[in-house]
Amino acid sequence: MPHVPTDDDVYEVFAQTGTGSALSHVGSLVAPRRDAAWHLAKETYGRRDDLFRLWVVRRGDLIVSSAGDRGLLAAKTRMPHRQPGFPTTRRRDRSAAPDATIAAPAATVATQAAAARERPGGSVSECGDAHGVAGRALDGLWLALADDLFVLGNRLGERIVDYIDLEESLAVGSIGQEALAHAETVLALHGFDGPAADAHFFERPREQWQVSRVIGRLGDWPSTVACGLVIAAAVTVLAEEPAAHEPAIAAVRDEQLVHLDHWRRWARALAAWPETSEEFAQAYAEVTRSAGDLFGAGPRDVPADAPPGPSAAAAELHGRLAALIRDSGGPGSLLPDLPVARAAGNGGSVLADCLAHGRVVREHYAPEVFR
Amino acid sequence: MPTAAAAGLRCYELWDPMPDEVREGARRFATVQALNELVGVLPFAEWLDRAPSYTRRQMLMAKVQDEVGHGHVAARVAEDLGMPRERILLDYLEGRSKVHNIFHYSFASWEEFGPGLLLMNSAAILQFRSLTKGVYLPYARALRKIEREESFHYQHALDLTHEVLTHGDADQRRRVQEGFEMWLPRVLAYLGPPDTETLHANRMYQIGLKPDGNDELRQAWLSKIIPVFRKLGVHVDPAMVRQMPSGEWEFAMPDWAEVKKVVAGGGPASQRRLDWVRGALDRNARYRRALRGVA
Amino acid sequence: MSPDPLTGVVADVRDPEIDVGLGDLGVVRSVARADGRIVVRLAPTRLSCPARGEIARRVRSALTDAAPGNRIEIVWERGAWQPTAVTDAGREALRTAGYRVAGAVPRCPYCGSEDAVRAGRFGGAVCKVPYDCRGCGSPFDVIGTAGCSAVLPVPDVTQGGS
Repeated sequence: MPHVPTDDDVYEVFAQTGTGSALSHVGSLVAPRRDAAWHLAKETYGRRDDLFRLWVVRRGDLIVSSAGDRGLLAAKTRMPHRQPGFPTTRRRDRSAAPDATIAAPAATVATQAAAARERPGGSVSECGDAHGVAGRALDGLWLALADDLFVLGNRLGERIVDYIDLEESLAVGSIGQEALAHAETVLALHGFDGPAADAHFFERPREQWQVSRVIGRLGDWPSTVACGLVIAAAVTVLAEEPAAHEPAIAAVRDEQLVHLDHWRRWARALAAWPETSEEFAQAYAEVTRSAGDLFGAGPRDVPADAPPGPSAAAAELHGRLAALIRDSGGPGSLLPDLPVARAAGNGGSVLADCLAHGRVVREHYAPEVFR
Repeated sequence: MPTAAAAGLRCYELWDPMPDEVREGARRFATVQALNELVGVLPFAEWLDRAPSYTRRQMLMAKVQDEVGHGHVAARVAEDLGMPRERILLDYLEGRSKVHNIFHYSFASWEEFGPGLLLMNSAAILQFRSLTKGVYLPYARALRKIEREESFHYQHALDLTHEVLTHGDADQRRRVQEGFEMWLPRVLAYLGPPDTETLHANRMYQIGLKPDGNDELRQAWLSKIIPVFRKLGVHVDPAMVRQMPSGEWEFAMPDWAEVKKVVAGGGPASQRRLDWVRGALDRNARYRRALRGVA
Repeated sequence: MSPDPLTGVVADVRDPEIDVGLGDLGVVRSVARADGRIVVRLAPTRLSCPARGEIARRVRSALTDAAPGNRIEIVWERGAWQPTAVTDAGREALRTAGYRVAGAVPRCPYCGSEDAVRAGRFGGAVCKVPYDCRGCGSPFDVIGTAGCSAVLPVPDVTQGGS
């Protein structure tokens, strides 16, 4: 049962160090009065970082989970990078480095956020994320989709020189670049700085990737269209979540809507053209049949005592995904009725090649070279 | 910016009546550029999946995309002058047009990639900058933008070469050096055969579509790029290129017979490029038809 | 922290892709200085803007020259850029360079003609949409966000040629 702590002089401090970062719990302090607590918090936690937002709340006013609530809370997915076995060493080392001026610029916010996360959490650390429990449930889904976006983005980049049409070269190039950028944006919002994001994408062993089964289907053009469509649809659905109040996510959504529209045009064209309709119907069927895990939590994220089957939140997202795909103008969708779990080992040679090629140059340099 | 108009030549807009040789000349320049942007991006695209970090990959993908975008611009200009864009790649496949010598090679390593890109990019920038003075204004304007965008890729090439030289081990730095020495003669040749004696008789020069001579551009290019490599710490062998007290550059003359052979399809990657383009057009033909048929 | 005179230094840094100052391009959100630190907040025109690294490098270099000895932090405010943030001077600089900004009818930046057709939905760079002027024949680009192609009141033309 949630309990209300009683120490009236203890205040919990939440801070946001930039618009691109999350509001995070940064620590606790003891103060005689509310206004004194506010000033003390500003002094204590604003000294190192410029604060974008600062919340100070009396611990007695919080509703805090207790040990017995873990099962209930853990039914949502959790961030894989907080799980054992995830290579966080570099991220820590980097965020602890005193000379932030050499950090990759895009990652400054993330560095601070990561630093903030790693301060002593206090008893309310479980409420640390800005978007709260509902938001945390989405974190695992976002990080999983970031993996899909990364592999898709690379594949689309290679299609720039496939010359389907001059304008299509520019389309796949733009969509590919944006897919990569969206993957990186998702990581930054989850506290990964530049080097941590690189380690996540370029050094994580293949067994730790849990891409959707659709990734393994990325092959010829019809399957690329179908994969592009279902992934853009999934990202769009997730970005519509009320918990995603974040300008960067709104931008991701806007850009993905353009991608979705692009893939839908192609789906309609390939489905309607006699020469390609059968081929496309088959590719579309295979991809949609595989797409049930886009909102499926990986087994590592599901606590042992959770009820079997998908969570209600995942089922709801999946329903919206189904509606969006059904509405896509393509042939019949074979998307399963309920989300199915993601599993390691999917992605086939598409993922294997993507990861192996990404290491060809990288492995010959010291890890800190490519920031 | 000095313009062709300032040099006393008449300039033309799309709908202006213009001599056939201006129209055909401009069409040819734009067509040649479009083809070379489209095929010339292949040596770089081959390294997309090996770019070793998020930043490098994003930059490289942006570069590849941008080159194809420049091909798109040039193809639109050529199309306005009567060149159907589908024919650009078909003419190449059927042997009616050729790509520049530098695109008949591949990069053997990431360390070679940086100096090769830097040399090619800086030469292309000077060439585009020269063509912005041409008399067909829509093309000249397009090139002004393209040249500016190329300067951005130049920065990237500089940055990644610097990265390898700063953090690479002795072997990796040696490969940068070798890359420079391998690509320097190729890019010297890319700027065209010596023409100081013959430029004034060149019809494209006379009508204002080729504003500068090859030798002039080559000198300007060496003045720009050799100090950059020196500053990077690359050794510039005086037997390959050296500056005279007059300021003029002397360089080992490329083997023009070899260059001709390469351009004709005898380069190490010539067949590979042709095969790639043919394969891509073939396997995607029905999708292209679907797009046209339904759109 | 209050706005700092260094804002002007950052605003004058040139964009690496187009010859326009970052301030006029609407990329500079704020510059603040306190206790030996300078915090620069920038808004990329797109999430995938590949010029971020080079922009950051130039900003650092300009600030190091103008105010040596400070620790410089660059914060990217993703999704914060809007076409409306481009100043009038920025619009004029972009026009001269062959670009228009999303949000208005895309007149040809060279001849002013409104007779322009979109030459595809995606351009050579993620922030650009290609157009062809049918008045003078010049290709140009419209700079804008993902929504820009939706708000532009022009027909969807897939072929650039006439």
